[in-house]
Amino acid sequence: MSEVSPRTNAVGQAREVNEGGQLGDALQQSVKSRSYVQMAVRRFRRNKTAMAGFAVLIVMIIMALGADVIASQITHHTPEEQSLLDRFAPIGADGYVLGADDVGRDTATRLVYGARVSLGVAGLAIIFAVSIGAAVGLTSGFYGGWVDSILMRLVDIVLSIPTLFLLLLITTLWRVGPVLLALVIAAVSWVTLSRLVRGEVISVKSREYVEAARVIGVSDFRLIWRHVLPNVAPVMIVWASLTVPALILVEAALSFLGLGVQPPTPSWGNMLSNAQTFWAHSVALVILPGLAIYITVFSINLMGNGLRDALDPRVTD
Amino acid sequence: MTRYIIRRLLQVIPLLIGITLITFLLANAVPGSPVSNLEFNPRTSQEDIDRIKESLGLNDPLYVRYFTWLGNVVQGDLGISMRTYRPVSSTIVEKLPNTLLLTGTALVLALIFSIPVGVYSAVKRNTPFDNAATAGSVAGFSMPTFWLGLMAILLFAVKFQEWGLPALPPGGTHDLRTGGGFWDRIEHLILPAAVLAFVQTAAWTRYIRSQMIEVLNQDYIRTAKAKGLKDYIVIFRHGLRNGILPLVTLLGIAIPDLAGGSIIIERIFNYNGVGLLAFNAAVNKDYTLVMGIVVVLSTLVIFGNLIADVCYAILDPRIRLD
Repeated sequence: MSEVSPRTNAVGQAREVNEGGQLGDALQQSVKSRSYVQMAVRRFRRNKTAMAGFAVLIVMIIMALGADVIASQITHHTPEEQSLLDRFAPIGADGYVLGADDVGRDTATRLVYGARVSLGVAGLAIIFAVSIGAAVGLTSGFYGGWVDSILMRLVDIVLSIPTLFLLLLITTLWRVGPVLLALVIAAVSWVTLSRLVRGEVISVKSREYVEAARVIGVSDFRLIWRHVLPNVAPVMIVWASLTVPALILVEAALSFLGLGVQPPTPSWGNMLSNAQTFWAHSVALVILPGLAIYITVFSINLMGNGLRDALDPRVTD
Repeated sequence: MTRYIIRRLLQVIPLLIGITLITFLLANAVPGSPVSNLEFNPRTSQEDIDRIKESLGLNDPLYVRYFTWLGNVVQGDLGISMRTYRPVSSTIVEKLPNTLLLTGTALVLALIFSIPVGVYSAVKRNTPFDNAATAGSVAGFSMPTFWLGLMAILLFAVKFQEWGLPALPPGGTHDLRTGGGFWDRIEHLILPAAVLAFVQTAAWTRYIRSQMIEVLNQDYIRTAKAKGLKDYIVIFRHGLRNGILPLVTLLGIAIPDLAGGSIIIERIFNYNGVGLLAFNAAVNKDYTLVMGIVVVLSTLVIFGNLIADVCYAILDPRIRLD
């Protein structure tokens, strides 16, 4: 995908110089021969804010994945290690880059491990949510009829229950670990995607190439998999990238309320919740986890906007 | 119009059944039963437990229990709190006005800020103001409400007091010593409502901007300009009316978000409403109360959406009612 040939690069530059000119028009035709994915990647790369968001996200992911390495090589603390002599160590204190919390645990280490939990739960949740939403939307849009009616009523029902209250009910009834939490969050957030996918499928399935495939006797499954799904994929990608931030916020909110990820496993939400009690001692403890959530969510939103603009040329915001 | 309203009302019925069914099934999927803890009590004999089970109807098949429960819910009986033994419905009704006041104020605040900013951005498209507003709305939209709430308390309640500035109260619905007058209640409402409104404002600004841009590109706007009308008349009379019309349905969609947000806001500001009630009930594992709240709020959301749809149909004659 990222292998842009020298020729197309040159065309890209020439086009920017000659915008509107005759040469530009002629070159634009050669640009058109590139695939949809290549063009989307190019549009995305040109979007500086989206690329910045993408870069920040990559850094966050690397920190989350390399939490063990960071803990052993840089901060020299484990997330659970306590030291009551260093309670509320300020930022930059000896041995504590970002200070320490109420029982002397290193904030930097815990933030990095928190990234693992927060991004992990949100990542898993979005995979579940996309799977459920796409399956329902594809089935509903492709088959129509009573299947469609029943599935869409189900969507209406889930949409009318305030998400956080439903999550509250579920977490009241069951104690959930991180993986189950992701599944539960996904279970209440797939609905909007299934509506979007359904709409797209209805418009795609009446196109000629789908008709043609049907005429030569392609099975329903293959028809959906090979001919419908690739055309619905952009909608799914954009939805996913704009929904991940919301899922991170939901996980953080639940953990903040004490109903999500349980201590001692650090998550940004429960770190904030814990710090709340001690802010007379250390304001940094309250500011840092929130800032981590905010930066992550903000950068993914920027990236998501860029992806939407790149994947859907019709949307010119 | 009457037929449309009747048809929409009929559509509400399966939704309500679905919501009650989901809530009921969730509560019943939990291992154990309300009498499970009696089994650990050595002084309770097995016969007693069986008798209690029978009298509570726990031996009936699931669907019988659902319809019994549904029958009670329809009559306004949501059962009894497992913690306080008070009726769930009256507990909720007690707290509902506070939450409606909070979410209503937040809604109004969000509209007051998002409409002018959104419209002005659309009119002055691609100017520094527009770019700043767009960036600001993404930045605002990404804000975790609970963190914003904590920061707001830290600044406006704690630090302002330290600095000797007029500080706002950090939480509660009113001053408990004086019982709270009108201004006192307003004072307590400002911070939570503003924080709750913040994210909605950011989201709506974007929405209104894109709606207005679409409207301002319409032919009738060009006609209005061409016949020499003043800019502000074109924008307000011809543009704004059409531009903010879709906002009515958006309001309907925003109700569940605001309700969900109220849990976090009420928890942070210790604001005595349904959100805080739900939170406390969840912590206490008082699941009859949480079930009741879910049913009541979902019903409110459904009727909120219904009202929004009907208003939209009345306001916009282009909507076909069939």
